[in-house]
Amino acid sequence: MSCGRVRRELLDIVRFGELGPSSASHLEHLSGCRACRDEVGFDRALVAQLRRALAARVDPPVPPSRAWYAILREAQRPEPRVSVWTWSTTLVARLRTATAMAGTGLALVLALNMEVIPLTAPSPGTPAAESAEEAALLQVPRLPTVRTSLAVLADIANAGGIDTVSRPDPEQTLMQAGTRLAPRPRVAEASEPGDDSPGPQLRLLVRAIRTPEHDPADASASAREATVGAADLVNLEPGQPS
Amino acid sequence: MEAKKQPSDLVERMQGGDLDAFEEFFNTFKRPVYATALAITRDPFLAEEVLQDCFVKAYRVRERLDPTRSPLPWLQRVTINLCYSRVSRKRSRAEPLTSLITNLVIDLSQRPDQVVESREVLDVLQRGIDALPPKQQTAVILYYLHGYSLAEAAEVADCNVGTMKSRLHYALKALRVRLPVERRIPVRLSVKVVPVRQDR
Repeated sequence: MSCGRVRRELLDIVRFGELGPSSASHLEHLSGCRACRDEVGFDRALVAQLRRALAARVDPPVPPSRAWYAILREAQRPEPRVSVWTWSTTLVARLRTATAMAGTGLALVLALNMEVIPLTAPSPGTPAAESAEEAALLQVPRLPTVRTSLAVLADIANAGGIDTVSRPDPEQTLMQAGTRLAPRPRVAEASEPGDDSPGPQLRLLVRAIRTPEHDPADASASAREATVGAADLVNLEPGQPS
Repeated sequence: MEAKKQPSDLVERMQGGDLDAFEEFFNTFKRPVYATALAITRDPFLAEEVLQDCFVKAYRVRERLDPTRSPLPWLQRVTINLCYSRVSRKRSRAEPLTSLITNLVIDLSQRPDQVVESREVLDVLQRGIDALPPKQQTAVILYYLHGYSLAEAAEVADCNVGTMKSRLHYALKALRVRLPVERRIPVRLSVKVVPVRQDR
């Protein structure tokens, strides 16, 4: 019988007093093995010291007599009701958690809906580029979201649905356009898988919708620039001839 | 457990609103409850608070106590939970008064070197007990301080006997590792092999 196995069982016997008919062989081993005797002896001494240490923690072992009177007084007092403040703070905490979870969910839904991750490669029917910049645009991966947003913006602006003069900020225009949108169809064509870097379309969008200064005098020009930029982008899209 | 010796109608009388029964109930169970609280918190004032909260709770939920079973496991469980919720709130607690007294009182029957060694070993063990995870600490207190059987300790800790054994094993292992080799307790084990009686 190996010492390792016997020691484990011996320690069980010593610690939990589980002596049984099968213990005889272990005890026999113990009488002949000095190392196991030391091991078991150390364990017993450790337990004895542990008991002393625990007993030292419980000193004095009896609670003071005043404890009973405090308990009696407290027990006879009506049970405290949950205060409005406690209730409201709990409610606020729960609402905060719920809001955070809802926000996360909404962000996830929006991210999926905006198709940040390209789904398929560009379709073969790509129109020919008319300039070097357009050629560069056609070579780089597409961001369908940008294209779709710009297309909608351009449609609305062209149809005169938005007064670009009184709303000079193209970002506001884009947001307002977004609020008027029906659910958009998912755009299938996109750039190469895994490439999510913003391409020239995004840069052009930023250039189109952000003017250096929102000067009211320059507002109509800004909006026009945005509309023109958007329309140009739409014209560049595959399968959407101008 | 102690509660087995108590009259079974104590809880029933308490449920009927008998305050004398409640006092008897308190006097019956105050020692083990206070000992558990003191062993975990090492702070007499905190232990007293826990004791009060535990018995006030017992009185408030007296209708739900089962008169056919000992209330001690329930009381101990409540005590343990109250202790750990308080101890975790005041992590950096000061040196308790009781341990200071223990350090000052010297057992003069021992030789000075033995006193120093014994005190050092006890200090190491006290720190080791403090550092144990709550479940192992509870197991050690229930089994080695209160002397509950494995089954009783497991009932209080709401686990099975095997789990209780495992917690004790790991606790002893952790305590043993803490003792430096040179401070290990001298082993004086004499073995008498007595043949185990096999009645069958």
